[in-house]
Amino acid sequence: MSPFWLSYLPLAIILSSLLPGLIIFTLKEQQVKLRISLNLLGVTVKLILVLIMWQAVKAGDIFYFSVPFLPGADLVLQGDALSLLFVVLSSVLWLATTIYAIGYLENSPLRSRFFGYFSLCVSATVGLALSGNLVSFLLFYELLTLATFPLVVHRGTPQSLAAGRRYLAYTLGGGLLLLTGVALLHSLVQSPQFVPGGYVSAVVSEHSGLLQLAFGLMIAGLGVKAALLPLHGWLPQAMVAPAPVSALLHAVAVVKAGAFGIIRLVYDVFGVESMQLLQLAEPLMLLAAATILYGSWRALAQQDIKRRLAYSTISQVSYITVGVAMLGPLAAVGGLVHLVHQGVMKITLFFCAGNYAETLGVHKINELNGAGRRMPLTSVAFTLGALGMIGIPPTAGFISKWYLGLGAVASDNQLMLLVFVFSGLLNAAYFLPIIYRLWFLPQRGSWPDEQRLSARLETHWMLLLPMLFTALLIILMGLFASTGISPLSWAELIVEREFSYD
Amino acid sequence: MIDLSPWLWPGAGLGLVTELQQVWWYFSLSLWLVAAAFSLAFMAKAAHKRRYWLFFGLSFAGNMLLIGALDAISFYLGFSVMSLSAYGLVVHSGDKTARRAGRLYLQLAIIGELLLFAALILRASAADGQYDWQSWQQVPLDHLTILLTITGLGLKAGFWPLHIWLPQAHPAAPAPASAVLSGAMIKAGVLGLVMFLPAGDPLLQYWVPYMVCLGFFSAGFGVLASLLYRQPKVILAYSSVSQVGYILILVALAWTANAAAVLPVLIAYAAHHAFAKGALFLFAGVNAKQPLPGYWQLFFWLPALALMAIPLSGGAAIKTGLKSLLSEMSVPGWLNTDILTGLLTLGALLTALLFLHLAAALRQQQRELTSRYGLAPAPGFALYWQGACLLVLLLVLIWLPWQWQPMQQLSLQTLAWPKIWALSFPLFLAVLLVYIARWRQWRLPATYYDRNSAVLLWSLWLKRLYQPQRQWQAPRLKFNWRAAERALNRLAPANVVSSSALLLLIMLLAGAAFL
Repeated sequence: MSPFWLSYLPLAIILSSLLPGLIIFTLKEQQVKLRISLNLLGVTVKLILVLIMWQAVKAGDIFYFSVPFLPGADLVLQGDALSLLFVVLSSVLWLATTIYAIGYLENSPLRSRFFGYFSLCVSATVGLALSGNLVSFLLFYELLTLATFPLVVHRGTPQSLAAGRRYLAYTLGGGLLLLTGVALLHSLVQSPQFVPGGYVSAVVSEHSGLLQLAFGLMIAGLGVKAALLPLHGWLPQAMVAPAPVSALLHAVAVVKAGAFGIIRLVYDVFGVESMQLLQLAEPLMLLAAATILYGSWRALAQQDIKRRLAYSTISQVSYITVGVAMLGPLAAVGGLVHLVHQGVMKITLFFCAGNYAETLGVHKINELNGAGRRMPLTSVAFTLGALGMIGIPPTAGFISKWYLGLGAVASDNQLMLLVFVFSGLLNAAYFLPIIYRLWFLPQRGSWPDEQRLSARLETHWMLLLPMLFTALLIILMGLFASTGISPLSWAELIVEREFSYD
Repeated sequence: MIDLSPWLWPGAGLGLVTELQQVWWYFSLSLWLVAAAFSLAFMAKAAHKRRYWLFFGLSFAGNMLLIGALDAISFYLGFSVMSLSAYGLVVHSGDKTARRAGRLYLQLAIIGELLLFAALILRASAADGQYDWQSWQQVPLDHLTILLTITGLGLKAGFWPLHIWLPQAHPAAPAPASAVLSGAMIKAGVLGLVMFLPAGDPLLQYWVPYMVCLGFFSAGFGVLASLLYRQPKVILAYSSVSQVGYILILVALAWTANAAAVLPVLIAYAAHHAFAKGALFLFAGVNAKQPLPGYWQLFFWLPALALMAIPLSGGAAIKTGLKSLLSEMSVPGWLNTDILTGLLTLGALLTALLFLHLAAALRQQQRELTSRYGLAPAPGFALYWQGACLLVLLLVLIWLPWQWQPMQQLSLQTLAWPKIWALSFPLFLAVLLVYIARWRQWRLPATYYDRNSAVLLWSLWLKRLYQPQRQWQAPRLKFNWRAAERALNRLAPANVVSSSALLLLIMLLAGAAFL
């Protein structure tokens, strides 16, 4: 691959969604076709570029692009195996969500604004995935906050404005903590590129207290987006956003940005050895384990579909953190692969929740009785997603749980195995009653607000297609886990590269 | 074997490589096929037929997959598909009992599955990333793994005290579904117990005597509990609890170094029980639906007598084999092989009592049906078809002990007079006991019969626990900054931009002054 490509491809990947997004802002509300074509063009170009990059990274190429930004810290974009995991996930799911959003928001006002911010949001996510040092990461992290806020408050109702305020308060506060942490770390060791094994080992003995403080601050900052225990309050409220936004927020953009940041921080900034020397992994792991159980427990009592899914996200995203914090290769495979698996499963569930709300007007769980007959495809997809979340084979969720479990035992954290088992029990306890209502209970009266969105299908095809695509992915990723294109094999590749830095 | 590991999940492999797997696969397959054929007629007029066949097919596939699995993940996949789909069979009728039974079944199935998951994870870790159970045979066990495996799979196998779902779920399911539940699906748990716990493991030997005792207790408990119920399918379910007790004894014996001698008897027991119990459940289904011609009694007595182990039946051969294995077993000081073989004779007496009780319950059901609908009408095609399905099972049952190599040896041993006497006197005793009981009218107070199990209350309590109406709420801190913010905004002059710029400048200067 030529040097030109090696340096400009990361930039091109970000621009492929940023430029269409900026153009969309200038479009008039009625220019629907132009807007849709721009959106789809951006998605296609991005997917092609990502595919090229994926092939090259697999072969061992490293992409590197930098411009001067701050003294001592350039704005660096780099494409390595880990960043590509997140880039592929966000581009593929962006495609699905774009199609879904076009169908979902058909004939609703302010679509130019929505799709503009939507593209910005994905650009920020991809930039965050590709950023090569902490300073660039921080930049994109803050951009992501700003790009998602208008999406959360899109409906403009008092409820969504309140949720947006809360979201902003949490994430800006978190951003501030992260900034402090990054600045502190920068003052100690500068901000070099992310490297496997980390770059703080030289000063561990000298500044252990300050390093611990910096780690704590950065985890607190990232933990807001990753919804770690005391900082999760914004997530269940933010579910008032339109379904495609919730789907993107929960599966890819926001919570995953936090989780991805934690992965980078643990493996490429601090490194496994320094983490062990500074004794940072254990508290992080216990915090994440507590979040897993707390989220699942709170989900039990939620009667709103999206709210229950939101609490489920809080719990499931912490699986990633636990996998990373256990510091073993097998656990890391589990955590990394769950980043992808959880994204695909959760986006499917949110698509389904959106379909029920759009087509039948159903928002509460006890209104779902008999929905399996009215909307069989949506209900099948929901069932698959829910079984995946519980970890029933052959879904993707089982694979991540299996590796997390193996990793827990391999790194001598038998307690975490107990946490996984118990959380699986809780997941079953809040998902299976929904599935029971869908398939086994008869319909109760008429639907709250039924709409005929399609003559032949159960709902609009644009709402159906992305959901079926992701539901199919859940099965394929679980069944064909050992093939070369599965997330599992990619996670194994990352771990191989991350753990062989000596 | 088929190696699927480059395609499917890591370590995936399918195949029937041991005799255990082969025989298990074939008898499960035959039972499933007969049950499917039976369902064609039996479920012809039932509601939700599509749903029934969907779940039937899924659990069929899961059951076959788990037997042919060579690695832990394939087994677990088959096991979960089977367990979860069987829920659809249990709740098929949709009435209140079925839903309650289904809830209990699903709760326990999920718990069992997660316990099994933990056990398999521990095992795979101990085996250093090997997932196929044949390489696990060399890996030593630890007590936690043994406990998790036994409880996880035991919840499916259904011996005491993990049997609690059986007497609820089997009567609730449609007859062909109960037949496969009892004949094939609970055997999946037994198969797992043999496959995942390597024979001859030193730690496992500590468990053997206790599991033998548990098996005996389960065998006795099942019969005694069944005598308190008058619904034929509940009695049959308790009979399964009792029979699984004997199978558990054999499983425990197969964990010793003597596995090579035990496995054929275990396989024979499982296959024999699958066909006999399958036939009995199918018969009970027909018996509850319509008045039957007299010769149909044959369809009941043949499998019942086989399970009661009358001479010349397969049951006799197996019981003899079990007895000789038990007397050879090396036992710790607190156990005595003579007592164990004595208990086996007592067990035969109890089993006979159970089936005599069942026969009475079935007759009672027929009497009620005749008084409601009159005498048996001319049998239609559906009845002939169902009878043919039953006949297939019975022919297998008759053929099995004499033509099938592992059982042939044992059957020939039972032909000596002392053996025949040893096998038949418990039966005579049971008949005598039943007549005396009828004559003297020995009965418990009526409240002891047909009680609702306390397990259902437990299941309800569990449901309330995981579907709470209210939950503790985190105290919400309320700061209302909005008023203060507004007041501050009013203070700012109309030209906000320039004043902000001024403020920024002042702050920068102040900062510069400090540094």
